[in-house]
Amino acid sequence: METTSEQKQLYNKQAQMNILAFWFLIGAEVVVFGCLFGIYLAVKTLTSDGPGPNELFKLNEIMLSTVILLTSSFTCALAIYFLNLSRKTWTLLFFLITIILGLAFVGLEIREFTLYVKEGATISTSAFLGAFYMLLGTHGFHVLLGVIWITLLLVQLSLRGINQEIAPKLFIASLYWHFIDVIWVMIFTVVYLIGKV
Amino acid sequence: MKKVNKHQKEIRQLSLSFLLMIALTAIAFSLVLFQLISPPILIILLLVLALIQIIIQFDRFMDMREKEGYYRLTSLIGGSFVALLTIIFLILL
Repeated sequence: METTSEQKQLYNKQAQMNILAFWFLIGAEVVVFGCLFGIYLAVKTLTSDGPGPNELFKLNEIMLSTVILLTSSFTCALAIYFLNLSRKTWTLLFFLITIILGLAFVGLEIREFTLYVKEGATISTSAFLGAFYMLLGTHGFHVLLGVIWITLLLVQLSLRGINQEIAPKLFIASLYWHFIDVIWVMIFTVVYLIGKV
Repeated sequence: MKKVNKHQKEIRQLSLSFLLMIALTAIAFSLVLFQLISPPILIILLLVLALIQIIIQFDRFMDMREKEGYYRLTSLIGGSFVALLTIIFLILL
């Protein structure tokens, strides 16, 4: 995306520095999730008496939550597109769709986990399940945090409208949201799909 | 008038990236559901599909190509390098 004159008004020098600083946080988050993936891959085969990945996962439901999260990433990009055009209503609308989809994703994940626990696959059943819940739980927590973050920013947006202060905040929140989606792509590939192979 | 065209192009690009990501996901899931390919090649293929999707996400949705993109790339590559080292070490442990 090339920066137009409108965007330059919305993102001043300070805002650009804030955005850059957020990229360093993303770099650090890559390390956090890298560690969790490393642990998961290291103990994947240690299932004790509990179920292994192949018996436990149901791909149909994972497909649904994947489509939900990918769509939310797209609506988030659309929201930023309208933000850069200074269209308040459309920005609000697309961010609202984004957080609703985010909540749906978290809801599906909670349902999935309660189902597993009912089947006797708890966090202390095996090393594999411990690492699985840690990795997925950390990601789910990030999604929930993103929902709360964007909700608070939307309150601010609806009260004050689009200005130099809110635009960089929303842009940074959108980066966070896309990053959560990137992590989910890794999770559904490495944990669910490769677990089923 | 020219400006409107530019905005339309941007929307089209975003939609195209989204459709591409959905298509890549559909391919990845169907590869596993129908088990058409033997496991070692299948795993590599799945990882390649995920990587393409991640690159689209960073490139199209997160504006990696903006000015001063080098710093962002440095932070991402630095983070990925440390993460990769950790993963390799933990697997070999």
